[in-house]
Amino acid sequence: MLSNACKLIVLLVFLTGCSNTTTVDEYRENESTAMLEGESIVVLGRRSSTSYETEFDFITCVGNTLKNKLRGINIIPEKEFLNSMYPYFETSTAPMDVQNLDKLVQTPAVAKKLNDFRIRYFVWIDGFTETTNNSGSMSCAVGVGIAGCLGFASWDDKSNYEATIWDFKELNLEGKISTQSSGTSYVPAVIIPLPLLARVQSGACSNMANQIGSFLK
Amino acid sequence: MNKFRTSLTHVLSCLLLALISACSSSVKLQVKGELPTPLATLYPLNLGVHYTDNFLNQIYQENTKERENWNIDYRQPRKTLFDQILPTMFQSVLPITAVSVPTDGAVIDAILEPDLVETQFALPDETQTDNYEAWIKYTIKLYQPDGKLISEWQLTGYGKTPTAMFTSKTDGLNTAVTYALRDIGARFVLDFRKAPGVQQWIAGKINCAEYPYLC
Repeated sequence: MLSNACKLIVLLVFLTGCSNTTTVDEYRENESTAMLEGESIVVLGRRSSTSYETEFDFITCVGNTLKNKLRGINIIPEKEFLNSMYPYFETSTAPMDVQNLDKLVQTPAVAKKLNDFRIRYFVWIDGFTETTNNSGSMSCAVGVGIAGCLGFASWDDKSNYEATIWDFKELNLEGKISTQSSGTSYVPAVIIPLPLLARVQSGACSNMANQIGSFLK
Repeated sequence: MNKFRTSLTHVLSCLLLALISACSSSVKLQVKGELPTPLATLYPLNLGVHYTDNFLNQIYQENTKERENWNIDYRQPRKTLFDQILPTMFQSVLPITAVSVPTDGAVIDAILEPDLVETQFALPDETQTDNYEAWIKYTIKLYQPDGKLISEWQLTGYGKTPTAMFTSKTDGLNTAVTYALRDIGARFVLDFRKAPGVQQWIAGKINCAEYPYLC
């Protein structure tokens, strides 16, 4: 009886749950020109907001996905770039617009380092993923030789990211891409918790990276 | 089945222990973090550096109802930061034991003295945010070789890191302090020339025709 109930819950959750919805918008300011082999893109997170922080793993995910999409183009890992360019691209010191980038390259050491990297595009990503709604409950217990959980929990995740693309060669704003995703995750538990997770952030990552890749092609 | 039950019991017991330890309010942390070497503009000047006892030895300690036995020691990265930054900014750097002590014939153009004023921390539970946060405040003094003050200014560094699954309180605070030190270093390198009186002092010490980007 319990087993049938379990199967029913799992089936219902599979049929109705874990659905992600994603919207991607693109705005093009300038027509991008083809990248040359050996040129690089750096994907960086904006972390100047006090209320949220663009996740490092999201930036890494976008960089890695973009690397698979744009063969022959070098994608510089965020951490490597930030450490090499220290202190010019820290949260409190990074240029906020492309005009300030122009000023920054007046410093000989900065210009040399950026040329060494063969940077063509800066991709600045601002945004975050948050859990907006929790419901249900689950209890777990541990006894001598026995352990288990019982209950049902669900939550909604929502992500909102915007990428701003700067062309370092032309020193202009190339365009902006935004993505909004949402989804609901469920965890039914009868002795063993069975997480059925909506991959909201990873969905946002692949959509964002694919759109950036198409934008720059 | 028995094997599975034993494994499940072990996993849940570990989770329970992790939850209990996460609820403990005491903190004992020796900060370890990666601080990069900066891409700085080199001043053709010779600098003496004096670290005060307070700068070298102060450990953050607090023992209150909310923060029982907090002991956060970031003495080493505090000094390492300046030891890494100063040689990239100045032609030579000479450690000295006091501002007014003669330097045994070594030529120095100025003496830098960083001092720690204040350190503050905030936990996610205290601020109702998802962040561990750290603020560090320094006073920087720049003296002439004879001990006369050229300039004095304050530097504040801020670091935060979001909470994450399986990240402990000490890990969160460690990262927040490292980012705060990184922020202080960035502000020191970029704002050194902008400190009151420093630009005029530099202009009086170097040949501006040779180094126009420094004047």
